Amino acid sequence: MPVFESTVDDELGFWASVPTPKTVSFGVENVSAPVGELLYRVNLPADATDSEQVFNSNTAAMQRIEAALSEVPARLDGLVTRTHANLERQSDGLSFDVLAGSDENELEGELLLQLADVDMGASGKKAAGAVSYGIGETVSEAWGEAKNRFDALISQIDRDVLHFAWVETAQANELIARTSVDWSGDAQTVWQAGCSDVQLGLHQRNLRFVTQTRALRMRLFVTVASGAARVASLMATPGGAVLALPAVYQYVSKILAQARELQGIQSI
Amino acid sequence: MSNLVSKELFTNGIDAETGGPKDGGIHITTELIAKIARGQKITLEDWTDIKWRKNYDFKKTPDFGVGDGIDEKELSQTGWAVIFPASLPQKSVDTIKEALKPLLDLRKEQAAAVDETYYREVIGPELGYQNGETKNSFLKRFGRGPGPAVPQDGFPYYAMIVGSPETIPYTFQYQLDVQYGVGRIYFEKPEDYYRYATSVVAAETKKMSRSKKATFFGVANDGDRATAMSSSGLIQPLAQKMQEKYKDWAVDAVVGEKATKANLTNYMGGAQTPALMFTASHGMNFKMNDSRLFPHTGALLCQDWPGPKVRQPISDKLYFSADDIASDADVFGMMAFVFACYGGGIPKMDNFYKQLNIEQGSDIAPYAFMSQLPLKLLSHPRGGALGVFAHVERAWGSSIQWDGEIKDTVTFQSMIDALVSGKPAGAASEYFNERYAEISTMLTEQLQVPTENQDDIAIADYWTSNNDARNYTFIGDPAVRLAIGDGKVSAPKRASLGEFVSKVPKGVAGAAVGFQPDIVERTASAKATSGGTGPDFGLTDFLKPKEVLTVPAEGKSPMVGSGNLNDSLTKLVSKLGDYLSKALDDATSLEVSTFVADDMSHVVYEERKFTGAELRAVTRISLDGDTLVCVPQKDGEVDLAVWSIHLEMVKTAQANRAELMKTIVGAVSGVAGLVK
Repeated sequence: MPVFESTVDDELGFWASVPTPKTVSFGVENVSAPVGELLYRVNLPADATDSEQVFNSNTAAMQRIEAALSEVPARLDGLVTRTHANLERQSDGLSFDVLAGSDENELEGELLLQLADVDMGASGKKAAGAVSYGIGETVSEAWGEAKNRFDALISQIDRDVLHFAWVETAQANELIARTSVDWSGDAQTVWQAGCSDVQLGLHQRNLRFVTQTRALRMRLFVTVASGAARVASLMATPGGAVLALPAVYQYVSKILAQARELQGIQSI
Repeated sequence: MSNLVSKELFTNGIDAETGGPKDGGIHITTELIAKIARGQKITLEDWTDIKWRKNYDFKKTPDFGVGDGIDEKELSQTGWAVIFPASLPQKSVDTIKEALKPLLDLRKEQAAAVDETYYREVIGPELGYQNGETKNSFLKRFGRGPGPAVPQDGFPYYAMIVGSPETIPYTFQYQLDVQYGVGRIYFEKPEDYYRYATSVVAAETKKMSRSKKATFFGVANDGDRATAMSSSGLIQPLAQKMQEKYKDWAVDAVVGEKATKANLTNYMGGAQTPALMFTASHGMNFKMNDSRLFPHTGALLCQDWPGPKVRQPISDKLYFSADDIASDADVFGMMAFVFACYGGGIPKMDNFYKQLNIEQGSDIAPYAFMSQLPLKLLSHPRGGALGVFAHVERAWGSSIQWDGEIKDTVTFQSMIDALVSGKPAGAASEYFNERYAEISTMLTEQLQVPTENQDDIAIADYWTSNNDARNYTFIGDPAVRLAIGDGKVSAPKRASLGEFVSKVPKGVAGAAVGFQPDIVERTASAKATSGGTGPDFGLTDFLKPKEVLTVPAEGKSPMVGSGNLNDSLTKLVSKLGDYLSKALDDATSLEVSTFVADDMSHVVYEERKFTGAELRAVTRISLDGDTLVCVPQKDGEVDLAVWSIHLEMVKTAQANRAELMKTIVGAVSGVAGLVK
């Protein structure tokens, strides 16, 4: 069974999280990835065709994730437009009174509720219908959880950008190649003498996949940031876009999870 | 370049923190301003307006602004319009309209007496002011271009803007004001709209008036040339002219040592409150993080201030702000002219710095807002003042003193004459528009002279005078006029107005909770920025750097005290920026190395280099195109197998770097706007 492992907690679900090892394995016990640097390693099947299939599968999954991400701006724009229209129709309602009669689907509805909670909490008002609780509970728990997850994403991106990536490709537990890529793109690769063209191709695909993963994580971040800016107009709170980030991140994460489920994609 | 020496100019703004001039670090000289003026781009639209206005003023007297044959004292001839932002939520529109109903009904009755189209409500998503509209694009919707206001041809002469300067910008107001009589109101509470509306209606229909009394209040702080100039060159001549010209008026000149805060309190709601109040002083200015920015910007610095030589922070004991208007103040029916920096409001960005292309520090407010003192006067619960002429941004002393010698008070005097003669405020302010048009033309003509022959001092004078004349705005309904009578309306009778103006209809009072005065909620932002509110333990606290909330709901654990989102975003953006900066520096080269090892288990990575493996190929690509290549050899021949691998790795590295930088640029631009 192929194993994609990384010391990065991969929100996108392609890389299984492993603790930072003092020593990188695959039978190369004395070669250590620099402590603290990001390790991406894959152990592919012995059969070259199967190995290719692993990458094909993951590449297809990545494309679906990209497609799902690309839909987010339009979905949020639609949500904003519909919500504003609803608000205008319900002239007797406060900003988020419209939520009670919202026809939004589950994800969008959840997002609106979270934004409303944040908004009401930030402005010191209670959320509509929140009789027994105010910001202390609603915001501190739901928003706090989302914020922690978003903080983790920021932290990952931080590490992605400023650290070396240590990329290893093995086939049937035999190391093919190891590449150290620094933040500026400079690369050093050590190859196992005598490796085949196919193995060469596998390591290069692994390198591309690592790069694409990092880029996709960055794109996820950009999508969330721009999404928060989009929905900020639904909030009365100053700095609404920043406050909306965790909620939008949660919303986008669920879209990605749905995409994976709907397409029958599993993390490998 | 003129061979005249450059001279320093004076503005009427004082920084509260330093007690020094607003422009602390910068010496504003004629030479500097002349440079700005030369770089100032006058748009075709501006120029067309100015030419129209100048030609029109030249051709006709005594009326201007309105078309020939139209009496600007008669609303049935001039028309009247109210302008709301198009995107104001319907609920807010309904609330404000209901609050303003007494005034709207009165104006409709007056303006539509002959032709119902002379009364216009420019309200709603289609009709209202659209975001980003210029005066010309706005008027175009009503079939009007540049030129005098002729209501039968499309748009009324008097126009009352109802909206914040952030939503309906000052620039639009200035432009429209060139040919039209424009005023603005914007309150944060619906009841304030009602109080103002009923006060105006009371003044016009209930014969509630003030006696003919004018006060000229001129501060002259020790060692301060700006206020010395405004006191001697503006306040005293105006008071003297008023005394000479209008014998039936009681005129007070409160100048020098008398111009204290305590005394101003007497004239701003106290026993000595006049029908016409004219003040000249410094206006207060605060830094962005100062809690007084929102409530006290434009407050009037009084004689109590020891002057600029005593560089000390200025407390509220030295200036007169909205907070100093007493709850039982008798300001009903008063009209005021405030000559002070920021007396009427403040733009988001400092125009002067902007034109100087100094980006850093050019934001002087979180957003454009109106000063609170005039608004408090207009919405007083015992009956409001009718209107306030006040300056937005800096007020320049050079406008008083023309060409270095002439004490030019004619514009001010003409405006006072117009008011005393019964002209509405919007028409009375036309003298400033006429001056603006004239000086703009002079400035433009001067700038058309070859640079070597240009007179810096003249350009600077024109530029400052031009801006000064342009930036006077009227706060209130431009159709109001002085409410002066024979003095038979006693103060107690006026005080009884409180019961009338504060008897807010249920619909208005009921809408107060959750009332959104603007298209977005800005009030809290201003207060949060300025620290004006106490802790609300809400989420906005997360935006405050280096703070962890510790006050939870009773019995609950502290709210998410794990850090500050805005702070971490800011740090990330900063880090990404650093990355880009380094990457750009290092982008001069990209180095790819290819090693081969017979036994991978012997390969060690030390000091960012592999050892225990043979370095077979290196490629270093420089930005300037130079490429260093170390080609692998085998038996005296190029090792094509390794070379092929290496070339593939070079391509991969190039693609990786390009993609990483692209995504980082996207991330930086995507998030930077969120954390500004």
